[in-house]
Amino acid sequence: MTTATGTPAIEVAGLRKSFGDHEVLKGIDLAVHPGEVVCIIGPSGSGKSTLLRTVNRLEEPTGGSLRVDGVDILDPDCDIDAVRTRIGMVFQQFNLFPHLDVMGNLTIAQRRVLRRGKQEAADIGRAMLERVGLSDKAAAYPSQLSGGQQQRVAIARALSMNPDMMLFDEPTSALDPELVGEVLDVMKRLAAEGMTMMVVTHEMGFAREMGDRLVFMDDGLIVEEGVPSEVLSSPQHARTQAFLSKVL
Amino acid sequence: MYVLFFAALVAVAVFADWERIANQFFRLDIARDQFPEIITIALKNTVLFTLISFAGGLVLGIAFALMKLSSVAPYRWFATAWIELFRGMPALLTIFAMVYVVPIAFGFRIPGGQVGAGLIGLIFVASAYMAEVIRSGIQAVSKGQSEAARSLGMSPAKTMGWIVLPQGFRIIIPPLTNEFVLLLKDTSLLFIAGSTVLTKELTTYARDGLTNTGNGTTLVMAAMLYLLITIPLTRLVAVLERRLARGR
Repeated sequence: MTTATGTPAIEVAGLRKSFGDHEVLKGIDLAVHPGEVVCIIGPSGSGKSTLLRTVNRLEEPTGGSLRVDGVDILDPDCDIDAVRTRIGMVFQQFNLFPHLDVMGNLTIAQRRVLRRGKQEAADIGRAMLERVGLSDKAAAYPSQLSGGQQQRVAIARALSMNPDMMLFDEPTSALDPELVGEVLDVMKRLAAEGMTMMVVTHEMGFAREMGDRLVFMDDGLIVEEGVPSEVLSSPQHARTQAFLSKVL
Repeated sequence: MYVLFFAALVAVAVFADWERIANQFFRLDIARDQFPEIITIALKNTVLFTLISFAGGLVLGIAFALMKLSSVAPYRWFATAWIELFRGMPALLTIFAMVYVVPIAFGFRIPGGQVGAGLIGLIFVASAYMAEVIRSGIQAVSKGQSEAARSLGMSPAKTMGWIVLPQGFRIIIPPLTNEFVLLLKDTSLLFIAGSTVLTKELTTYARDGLTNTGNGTTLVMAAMLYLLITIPLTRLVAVLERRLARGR
């Protein structure tokens, strides 16, 4: 576990987001420190995915501040594309590029964004495929892979950019139950290696085992946060208790 | 039901003057006289004009599709006006205008003379149809694809060029094939541009043949040559589609 000192990797303050009249985030304060694994839980519609998606500005916040490694990324002069290369993102629906084979998925951004050479990008791609245990699938197309394999490729794709931190948006929610384990294993290894991670999840086991901190959100606000085992076993807030009694 | 059909068939077979029909539609001596010009000039020009107008229409079509999806309102208005204008007018009218009115009105010579001007008219018409097809292809690519590309640090332009368009084009192969076949036949409208001996395409060539010989042989030959292009083409596209299917 990392002690909360120094510049946070991600620092969110008073963050608000509205879709039309509907306010989804109502003022979020949260700091994620380098090497920390923060898991976010909460009922659907609580704003947890939206929070994650504002961190790399896939959603534009309507208020508040957002810093990555101390840099204000809401600044109009900030090069958001450059910031995004340092923040890996994994989606619920994998979102692999179906027209490219696995190696193509792993190298396209390396080559077109980081301007790495073909050989270098492929070497890094192969190394990342090995990390997720799919070395033999470099030539496969996404449609030829199982859901669990696709999600592991998606993780490898994000890792191939050598990001400093990773965002996971319900990475196992679209998977058949028997495929959840292989993805969680990859994530656990990443966490153990010290990757900074923000994980929106329903996997309480993962949160308890790997999370440094657990954040419970409801109705656009952080209701409660703390050490995962403590939050899960003795939630302080009535809404947390009600939610956990339903999912545990 | 079939009795009537066969009775009609027999009647036609018995009473028709087969020799006269055969002589009107196909006479070997006339057919022999058409070589090599019907291939080296007429077929060559038809293929050339089709390729030029398809390529030109494709490039302009992509531009107008992107403009129509742009967040900049004047771009959208211009693209909409362009598409409505050239899709709503008969192609013949557009070609007429390009050949006989625009060069005088704007005081410049279009390269390629009257046929060049007619081709530009055909390109404009093709671009209007293709813009709508391409737009539908772009919109059929799921939003998750561009989100994944953007989260890897790809700019909007790179996302469009490397991720969205390649997938969109796979989706619109059937309507684009359709457009190609339509254009192939629409090259016959270029006859109003006043073809010279060297710029005749198949239909003009066949019509002149009809005038000169008073016989339908050249029409039949032109028809066969059109089919010689379209039928293998549609087969080829079917193969292409199957090969690309795994990348969907």
